[in-house]
Order: sequence, then C-alpha cells, then structure tokens
Amino acid sequence: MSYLNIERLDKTFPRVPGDKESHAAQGGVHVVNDMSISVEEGEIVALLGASGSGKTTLLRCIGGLETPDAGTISVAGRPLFSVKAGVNEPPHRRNMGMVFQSYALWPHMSVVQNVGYPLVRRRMPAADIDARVRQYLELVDCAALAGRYPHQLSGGQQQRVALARALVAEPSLVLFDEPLSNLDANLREQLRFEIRELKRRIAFTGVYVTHDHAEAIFIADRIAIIRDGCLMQMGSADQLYDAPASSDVANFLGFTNTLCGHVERGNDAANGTAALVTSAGRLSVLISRMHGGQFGNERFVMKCHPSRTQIEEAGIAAAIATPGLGGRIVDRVRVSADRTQYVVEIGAGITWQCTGRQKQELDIGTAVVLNLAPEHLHLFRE
Amino acid sequence: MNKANNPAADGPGLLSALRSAALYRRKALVSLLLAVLLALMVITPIGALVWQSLFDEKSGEFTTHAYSATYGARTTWNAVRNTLWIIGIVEVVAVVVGTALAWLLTACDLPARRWLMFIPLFPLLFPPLLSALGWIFLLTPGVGFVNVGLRALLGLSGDTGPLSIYSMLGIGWVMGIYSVPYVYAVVAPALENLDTRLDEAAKMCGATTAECFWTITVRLIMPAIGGGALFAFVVSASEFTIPLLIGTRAHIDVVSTRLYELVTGFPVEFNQGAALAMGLLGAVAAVTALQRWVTTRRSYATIGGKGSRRELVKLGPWRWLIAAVILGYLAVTVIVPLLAIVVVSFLPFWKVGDYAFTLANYEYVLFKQVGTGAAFVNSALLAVVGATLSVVLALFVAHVTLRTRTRVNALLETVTGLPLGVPSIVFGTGMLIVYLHSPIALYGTLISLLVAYVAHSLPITLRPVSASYVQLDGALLESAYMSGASGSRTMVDVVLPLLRTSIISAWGLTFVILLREMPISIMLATPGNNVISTYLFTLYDSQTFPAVAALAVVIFLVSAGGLALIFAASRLWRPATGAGR
Repeated sequence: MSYLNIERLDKTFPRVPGDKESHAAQGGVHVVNDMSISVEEGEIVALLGASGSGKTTLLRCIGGLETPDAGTISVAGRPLFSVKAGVNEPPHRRNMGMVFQSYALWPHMSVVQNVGYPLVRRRMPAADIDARVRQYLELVDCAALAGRYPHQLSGGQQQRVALARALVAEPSLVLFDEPLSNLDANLREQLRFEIRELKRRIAFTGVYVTHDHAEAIFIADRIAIIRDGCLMQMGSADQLYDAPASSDVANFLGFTNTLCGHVERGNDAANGTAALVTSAGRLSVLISRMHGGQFGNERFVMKCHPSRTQIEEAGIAAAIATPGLGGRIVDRVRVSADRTQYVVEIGAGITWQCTGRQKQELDIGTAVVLNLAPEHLHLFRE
Repeated sequence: MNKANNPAADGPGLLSALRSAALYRRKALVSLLLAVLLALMVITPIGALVWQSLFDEKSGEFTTHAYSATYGARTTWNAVRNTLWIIGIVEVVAVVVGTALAWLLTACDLPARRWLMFIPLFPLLFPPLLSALGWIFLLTPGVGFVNVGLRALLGLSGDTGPLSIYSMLGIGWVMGIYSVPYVYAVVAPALENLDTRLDEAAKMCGATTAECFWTITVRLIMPAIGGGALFAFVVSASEFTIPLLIGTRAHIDVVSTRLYELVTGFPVEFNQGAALAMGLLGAVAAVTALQRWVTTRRSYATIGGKGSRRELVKLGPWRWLIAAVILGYLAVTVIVPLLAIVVVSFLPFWKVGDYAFTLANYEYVLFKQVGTGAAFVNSALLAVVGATLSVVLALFVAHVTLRTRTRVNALLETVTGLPLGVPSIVFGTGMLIVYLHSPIALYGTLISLLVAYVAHSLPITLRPVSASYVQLDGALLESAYMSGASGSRTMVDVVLPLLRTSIISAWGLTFVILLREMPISIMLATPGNNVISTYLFTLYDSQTFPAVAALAVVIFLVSAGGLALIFAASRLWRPATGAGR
C-alpha cells in the first residue's frame, strides 16, 4: 500500500448543450480512463501530458474539486473517495495544499493573511500562526513582503507566496497545477530549482501537473505520462528515456528519429544483437528490445532520441571503422549554449536529427557517419 | 426478487439514491434543489392562473366559460382598446424622444457629452408611483399647477383646462416619459457602434447632414429602434401603477387595471380575472419573443463598428442650446414633478390661489394616522428581508450556474429568467390565487408578500450579481477549499469581500424596487396588512391630496436615505480578514 493510492479512477464530463468543446462523444468526454497511480511518501510525481490529456482533471479529482465517476483515492491509508465504501470527502477536509497556475492569491488579503489562512481554517492558535507564517515566508524568501497585497507583488513573488500558502499547514499532499507556466523562462527555471530545494528542506509529498518535459524531469522523482485520460507509462526520467514502453511514449518524449524495417538474425547473436534492415541501411539492435516479435517478416518501428546520436565526419569514421549510417548534413541549428542540432539526410527524403554533444562543429554539406549504439535504439512492433 | 413490482423497495431505493446523490452529485443536487425551489415560486402562480381560468371552482370540471365570458364582454375589449391607444401614444413619445436624444448625445459635439449621456436614464430612477402623482399635481384640469399657470399666462377664462392628465393622452404622456430610457438604452449604443464611413460615403455622394441622417443613419439603426419600441410596448402593457392612479379617476380602464377590478371588485370574478391575466401574459410573451428576435438578429448597424473613429456632427453655437434643452428635459421629466409633490405636501388645501405653508400634512400622515407606522414598518421589513434573500439566492444561482457544469444548469437558468416575462400584476394575481387555495393559511401574512417579492425581484438582482461573479477567477474559490474552507466559509471569506460593491448595489436596487412595489402588493396586501404603496393608494382614494403628497415625499426620502445608509455602511465595512489595508 503506497502513500497516495489511486485505483481504477474514471471520470466522464457530461455533454453540456451548446458547449462546442465537448462535441466528442454523445455520452460526454472520457477525461480520466481507468487510471491507477501510486505515489510513495516524500516523493514528487509529475503528471506529464499534452493539454487535454486529462492530467489536470486527475489532479482536481485528487483534491476533491471534481468528483470521479468510479474508483478509489486514499492518502496515508485514509480513504478520500470510494464509490464502494460510500466515501467522498469534500476538498476542505482532505488536508491538502494546492498551487494554482493563476497563483489565486486573494486580492483582499495581505501576504500574511493569505499564507495564514489555511492555519486559521485548521483552528491553530493565533500566536502559533504568526510564527509558522513567518517561518514559511522565510523559506520562500518573501519575509520582507509580509504586509503587502497581491497586486503589489511581481508574478514570481506571487507564486512564491502561493507556494508558502500551499505548504504552510504541512498538508498530507501538495498538488501543483502547472504552477510555473505563467512565468517567464528565467523565473521558471529559478522557481523549479527552489521547489526542489523546498522539498529537500521540508519533506513533502506532491503531485505535479505539467506539460513541460524539462520541468517534469527537474522537479519530479517519478513521471507519469498521460494521454487521452490513460496512464501510458510511469517511472523515473532514466527509466522512461532508457525504456519507453510504447512508440506513443517515445513520440511524446521526443524520440523523433524513426526508421521502419524487419530484423534479421545476424552473426552477432552471441552478444545479444541482431540487424534491423531499413531503407536507409542496416543497424545493430538489441534482441531483448524486440518485445517478443519475430525475426524475418515482422515489421518493427525503431525510435531513437536526437540526444543519443553521435556524428563522425565520414573520413574519420572510415579510419577508425565506426559502424553506422552514412549521410550528409543538410541543416544546422544552435539549440543551446553547448549544443547544436544537426539534420542529416541518410536516404532519399529520410532525415535524422542529432543533438548529442559533438566533438567539433561541422558544416552543412559535410558527409558524416551516424554512430548509433544498440542500447539507444528502441524497437516497437508495428 | 423483482424490485419493480415490490413497492416496499422504493423507499430504501429512493433513500439510497438520495444518499448517493448527496455524496457524489452534490453540485447537480444543489442545482436541482434550487431549480425546484424557484420553479415552485414562479411556476406555481402561473399554473394557478391556468387552473383557475380553465376549471370550474365548485365542480372542478374543465370549462372554457371564463374565457368566453371575459373575451365576450365589452368592458374587456374597451380596456384592450384603451391599452393599445395609450401604448400608441407611449411609442410616439418614447421612440421620437428616445431616438432624438440618442442621436444628439452620440453623434453631436455637445458640451460635457459624457455626462449628459446619463440624463435620459434618470426617469428610470423616478418610480412610476411618484411620477404619476407629480403629473397629477401638475396637470389636473382645475388646480394643476401647469393649468393654473397657462390660464393666467394666456388669459383664458374658466377654472379648468386647457390640459388634462385624466385622459388617454395624459396617461400616455406619463408612461411615455417613463419608457424613453428603454428606447434610448438600445438605440444609443447602436448609434455609438455605427460605422461612420457609411455616413461619409453618403456625404461624398452629395447628401446633406439632414439627408444623411434620414437616408442612412435612421435606416441602419432601424432594428435597434424596433427592439427598443417593442421593449417599451412590453413595459407599457404591463404597467399598472400609472393607469391605476390616473385611469381610475379618469374612468379609463386598461387591461392591467381591469384585471385588478375583476379580482378585487364586487362580485369577485377570479375565473375571468385569470382568463384576462392569461391573455395579457400571452400578449406580453409574444411581444417579448418578437423583441428578442429583432434584437438578436444580426443587424447591419454594427458591421465594422470598432475600427473607425467617429466624426461628431458640428452644431456650432446650437450645441449650447441643445445641451440646455437636454438639461431642461431632465427638469421636466424628473425635477418639476418631484417639486410639484413637495409643494403640494406643504399646502393646507390643494386649491387655486390658496398657497399657505403648513407642516400639518406631515404631522397628519406621520403621527395622526394609525396605519402609517405599521405600513412603513411592513414595507421596510419586507424590503430589507426581501432584498437580502434575493441577493443570497442570486449568489447561489450565480455560483451554481457559473461554477459548476451539470446537466441541471440549463433548467435552472431558464427557471430563474421566467419572471422577467411575467407582468407584475399577472404574477400578483397568480400569487393571490395560490394563497387563497393554499392549505397553509398564508393569505394576509407578511410571508406571502415576502415570497412573491423575492420571486419577482430575483431576476433583477441576479443580473448585476452574476455579471460580477463571472469576473471572479474560479481558482480564488478553489484555493480557499484547498486551504480547508468549506463552501459557506469560502462565500463569507472570499466571495462576499471580493464582490462587495456589486452585491451592495444589487441589494440597494432590490431594496428600492421592493420598498415602493405596487402591483403585487395591492393584490396580496390586506387592510390589516398594508405596505406603504397600498397605504398611499388608500389615502389617494379618499382624496386627501396634500397628505398623499406628504407621504410620497416621506417614501422618497426613506428610499434615498436607505440607499445612502447602505452605501455609507459599505464604505465602512471592511471584511475582518482585509483589515489594515
């Protein structure tokens, strides 16, 4: 039994007449589909998905802001929602904290009053409230803003105060609803770091909704990938990038390089590899990644992340006899301070992207060899 | 085993269904309960009218006798004819004055235009009760101030005329002034949005300003004028207070006053009254539907409206004169009638030439008449409690319809909007029938008035409340829930403080409307249970005009004072959590 247990949760939005958004099905939109997720005490799990994937609805179901149609939700052994047991705790009795995308600070209350509100509602003595509010404002570096009102704060300050408000009552679970998406890029990275730092200093358990991969990787201990109301895969960032469970997950995680073909049993079966035969050439792949597929005629889709490819200049590659696909650089884009993305044409109309840290800068038009390690090539049965 | 055939299973089945609804469908349940409550308040009286008009009271049999009796009677058609004549006069006054004011104030370079634009709306603040009294004091054939002045000015002999309020023209004039704002409020925005390039194009083709006005502007805003005129039609057909005060004395019956006579006269004709009420309701509903169709149809007036900068018509030195005329319009429609009431209230007798000053009327009304105090207390109590209940219900309805999405919401919205299409006098008649047949003895109680007041005022209160509720970010409420605040706590700690201003103005508006409410009150109030408007009518009926005037002044002061008090209190009231700002 984990700390937060969500079992077989289901939620369908009713079709509201005149609402163009919900044209999908006659019976409404199935936003959460038989979802089971568990979160251990002290970890942050990110719900990662595109907009409309149902991740926010799932979060709101956990908080009690939406009522699911079926399933159970429990925190620390206490059932909060269960159709079978006839339990549906209202949000204010779930002992949670929540950070909203729009900050949602109450404009008629000062910073101190905003942060102190969850404690007032929990009937804490006034003197203790003062001390606790001061402590949490210091944690989020906003002690100097105590007497101000939300409209006198910048966006970053508002979200820090909102963070303090969500944490101040030391709730059993903290919910984050895309808390950083209203902030500009620099501030977002800074706050990402601060949330991680807060978690180190005051241990809390959290569920974090985001559509930003980098944010999920940075903040969360584990990531749940959600699509169309279904849980696609859940695991640490390493687990997800090392072993995407399906080509959909791989697509979502940015495994943009795709080749199709069949697998032939080669000479290297002894070291666990076989040959994937594609229109662009032969590639060495791991037999263990074939998911029970057949050698010979069965078609496979191969996915590879741009960051997991190395480029060698053709001449050098030939000299050290690197195996791989040959091609020519057709485009070059600087994507960050130390990374360049190359687009390599490896066949008629077939291109390959690489953003791996390269040894040297190469020009457009250079003939290259792609160095593809078998462990970075993921096979999926078609 | 078969549950459907086992009635004993129904009880627990229903119970468990309710229990599970309370647990998992809270929002839908609240929405449904609200809809049912409001439907009881609104649909019951209409249903009572249908029943009363179609079934024989003694035998309980279906009969159309009430309809044939009502619509076979000359008195009915006489009232219909009068109503239509008066509406005709109203439309001429309202459309001509309303459109002219709208054009002058939106298209011409008048001084202080932004301020003057509010003037045509002022008569709305001047209740029909006071408006009718004021014009009676000005235009009564014998002693009306205007008539006395005109006779002296023109050297006319005789002691009556030349004008008379006790005529169709008189009723039409007073109701017309009251209807001008409805036309103005629709036409002015339409003119404001009008693409001036269309005007300029006509001028380039050689049209003068006047030709341009008639051939382009007027044609383009025709739908808006039509919509405003139809709205004025609905308001006038439903109007009761003005024809009651003026018409009964002039022996001019309109449909609403005829309905009043049928239901309260002797012998009482409830069946015929109900049949007449159904006719009025049907006519008003039809015109309202037509009006919605006219105003929501895509009108060409707004095409390309936003981008173009308006070129105001240059009136030259005339602009000062026209601004003065508009100020004069305010004086004539609001200030002069009000002054007439004040003057009469200080006269010992309302006679030509006998103008001595006295406070006796106030003394008489306030201290010598036993009924005044009770009527004031009743009215104040009903207005305060009614406005409060109305605002609370409006908050609930706004919250449920705007913050939750359940299938029941559409029903709730429809039910809440219904009373808007029901004339007050029809609603009052329905309520009267309900109370007379109610198993609980409610007739003649304050509760009976309160329920009717709340149902009647809810749609009016709801508009400003839900308009401001829409602006409220839902996350502000949800963050309170997540902080441990229950729904009602959130209302008190978050919603009320944030919507303070609009809640208070909605409350004030409802308070003032209820304080002087006439059509419903006159149907439901009993001699032992007067409210201020019905008490004033009793005084008016006994012809003690200076006393009526004094009472009217007191009503005016109480509403104004009540409002001032509320707004002053709202400035002092800071929610506890927001102190120290």
